[in-house]
Amino acid sequence: MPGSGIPRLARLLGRVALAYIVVFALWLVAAGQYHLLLGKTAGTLIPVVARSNVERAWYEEDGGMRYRIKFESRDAGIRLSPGQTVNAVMQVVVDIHQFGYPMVTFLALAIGIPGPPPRKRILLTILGAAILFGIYALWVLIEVYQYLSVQELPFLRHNLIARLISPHFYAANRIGFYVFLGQVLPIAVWALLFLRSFRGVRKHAE
Amino acid sequence: MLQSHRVTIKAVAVFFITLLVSFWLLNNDWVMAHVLDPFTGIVARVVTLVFRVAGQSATAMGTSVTVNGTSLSIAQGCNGVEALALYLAAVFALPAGWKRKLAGVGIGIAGIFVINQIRVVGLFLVAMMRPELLPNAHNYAGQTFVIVMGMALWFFWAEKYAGFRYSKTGAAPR
Repeated sequence: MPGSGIPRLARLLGRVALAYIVVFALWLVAAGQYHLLLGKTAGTLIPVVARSNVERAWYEEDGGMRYRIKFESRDAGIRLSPGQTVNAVMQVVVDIHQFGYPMVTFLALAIGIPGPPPRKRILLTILGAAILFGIYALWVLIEVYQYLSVQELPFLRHNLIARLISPHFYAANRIGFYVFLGQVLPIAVWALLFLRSFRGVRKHAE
Repeated sequence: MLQSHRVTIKAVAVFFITLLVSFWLLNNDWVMAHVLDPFTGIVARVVTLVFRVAGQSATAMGTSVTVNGTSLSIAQGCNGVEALALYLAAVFALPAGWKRKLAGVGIGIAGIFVINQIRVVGLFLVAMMRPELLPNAHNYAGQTFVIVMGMALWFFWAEKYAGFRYSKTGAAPR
């Protein structure tokens, strides 16, 4: 590597590291609200996939420490028992936290990597975060339904998600889904949004 | 316009195909036993060396490291190889000559190894000084750090070796 590249590399890594530290610090403050919003959004999507007797599911924060999924319906027959809720909550809390760091990855890259002017950078960052948020909200929904329908509430098995992603396929590929959602997706979204404004790649010059 | 879309589609396809192949290899038993385990052992020995140079008592046994009585095991996911797979997929996705891509491979292997060493040393410091923070530091902060810094390294390579420049006109890569 030419000597002139070292200061440039050091500046770039320093800039991205600083962006990462700032984003992560802000993330620690905002994570609770983010998870709450994620769960509520997932809950509002329930009617899209659920049986007709499930109206909605809420994702609630309890004392800042625990989270619960609450299914609401008129006939009350679908409400979860405390044991069922705890199992589902444990599963979903782990998953939602796993969804936390890809947003940090995206934001750190969006803010730290040089390129677009501030206004365009802000717009692309908001757009990318919204895309990721929507995908993660959908995934929370899938997680809740897959978990509940297999483990606790077999009658929930008859829904759109179960038809699209069978419990067997889901169980066999769960880690792969996590790797894709947690590591690949934020980078793919960042690259597709931010790198389209770059040019001048030297394909043939050696 | 069509040409720029073609370049983008090709880049996305190469990125995901490289990733699929990489993660298949990373989950292959033979690769794990004959490549990844020895590599993780090297990571452990280098961490030990870093602490010894700093005047600390450090020993490595396989992929386990003990520093001043605090022991941690470096698992498969903690050797930086997944971040390297992402980096390499991004290098191969960008249209650049093979010599430039070869330079990118070298920069990535060396750079992400160093970045991952910083992460592992940092995790040891957390384990020794604030052990209650170790799970979060390990699961979230450390992993994200390596991926983000790895992509910064890729951006450096793309600018310096592949002529990647921001364009105000917003044109896609040629």
